[in-house]
Amino acid sequence: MKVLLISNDAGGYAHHVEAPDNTTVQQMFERHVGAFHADSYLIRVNRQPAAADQVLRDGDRVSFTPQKIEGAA
Amino acid sequence: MKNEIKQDYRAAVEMMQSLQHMRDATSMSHFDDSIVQCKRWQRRLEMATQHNWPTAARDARDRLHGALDILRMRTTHSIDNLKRQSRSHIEPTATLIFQEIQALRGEFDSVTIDGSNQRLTVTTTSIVLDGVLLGSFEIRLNWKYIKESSPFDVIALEPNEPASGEGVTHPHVQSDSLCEGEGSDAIRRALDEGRLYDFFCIVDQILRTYNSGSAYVQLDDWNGVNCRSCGDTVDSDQALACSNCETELCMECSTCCDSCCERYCEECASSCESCGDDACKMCLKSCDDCGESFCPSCLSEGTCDDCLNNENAENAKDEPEQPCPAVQPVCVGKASVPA
Ligand SMILES: [Zn+2]
Ligand SMILES: [Zn+2]
Ligand SMILES: [Zn+2]
Ligand SMILES: [Zn+2]
Ligand SMILES: [Zn+2]
Repeated sequence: MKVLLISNDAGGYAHHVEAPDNTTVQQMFERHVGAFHADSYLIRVNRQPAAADQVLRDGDRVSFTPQKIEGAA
Repeated sequence: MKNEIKQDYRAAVEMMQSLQHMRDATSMSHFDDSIVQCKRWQRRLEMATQHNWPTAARDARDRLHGALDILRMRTTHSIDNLKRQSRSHIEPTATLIFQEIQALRGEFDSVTIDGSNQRLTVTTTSIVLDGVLLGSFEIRLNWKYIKESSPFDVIALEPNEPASGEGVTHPHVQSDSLCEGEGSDAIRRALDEGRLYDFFCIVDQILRTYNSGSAYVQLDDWNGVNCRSCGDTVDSDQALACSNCETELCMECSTCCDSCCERYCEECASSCESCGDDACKMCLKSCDDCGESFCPSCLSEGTCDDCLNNENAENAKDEPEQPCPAVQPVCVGKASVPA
């Protein structure tokens, strides 16, 4: 299946990735972004709040927004 | 409801146009103008040089320089735009932007569209950082300027501004403008791709994060008070208000009146002419005689010690010399004795 993965961390990349069926949100993150801490991110699947163990489906849009993004002065 | 959907879709279409507008600006037509100008001044320069016209040559050289500068600027701008486009993986569409606006309505309590000002506004919930209540903020996206840097304002709805730092409503917001810090790339990318939902979530998260390493005003100093005298920031529970005029001061800049034991500012405190003790202007009274100011313990019935002493001395001098009643008769007697 194909999923749109958006990582709103420093780079803010959005790209389409191939994933095996039954991939969860967390597996998706670990495979493409890095070590995952569920409580450090706002997780949204198709712009709706989602849990880390939610199973993704073909065509889903999954986004990770860090809970801590440091502004400056 | 139906009107809201219509309004959201109209906004989405306009945003799409604003995003599209910049893409069109990368067309090559404005390079043609620039190149024509460069060629023109180059020809003038050659001609002036051939004819040995130094003033005309200098003028042509300056103008060629200017035209080349504009060409360089346009080129840099176009390269930047190309880079942005090549990095984008999502092509925005009006439908996608519409979906983003719909999703915002689920994420934030208040989402408003001001079509005439081309503004999409989202209201955050109340924000507290390290115990400092900053209240809720409006994030206003000015979609007409969506391709420009920071096309949005962040407005505090219940502003809690620190004593130091005018216009600071958040450690990372000054004059309604957010310093994006490490969020800046993600913000730019989200806007370029029409991902408004992500854009507002990122800004919201920046507002919920405190970076003590780079803040307009440190949260530690937020509830501080500026001493009106020396300008230092002191904790509000350590600041002192003048008992008379309520000016806020640090401990060092306030004076304790030795008479009433209250603290006062420089303006409202002075000292006794006689003993030199600090005294407030309320406790100081002027002497009825000399008019100088004295503390209560240096005045007796409205008169200062000096004036009282002087008065006593005067009184003593003015008194006529009394004949000693015992002397005369004795003298007389004594004189009379031998006689
Ligand atoms: Zn002071
Ligand atoms: Zn006093
Ligand atoms: Zn005062
Ligand atoms: Zn005195
Ligand atoms: Zn006096």
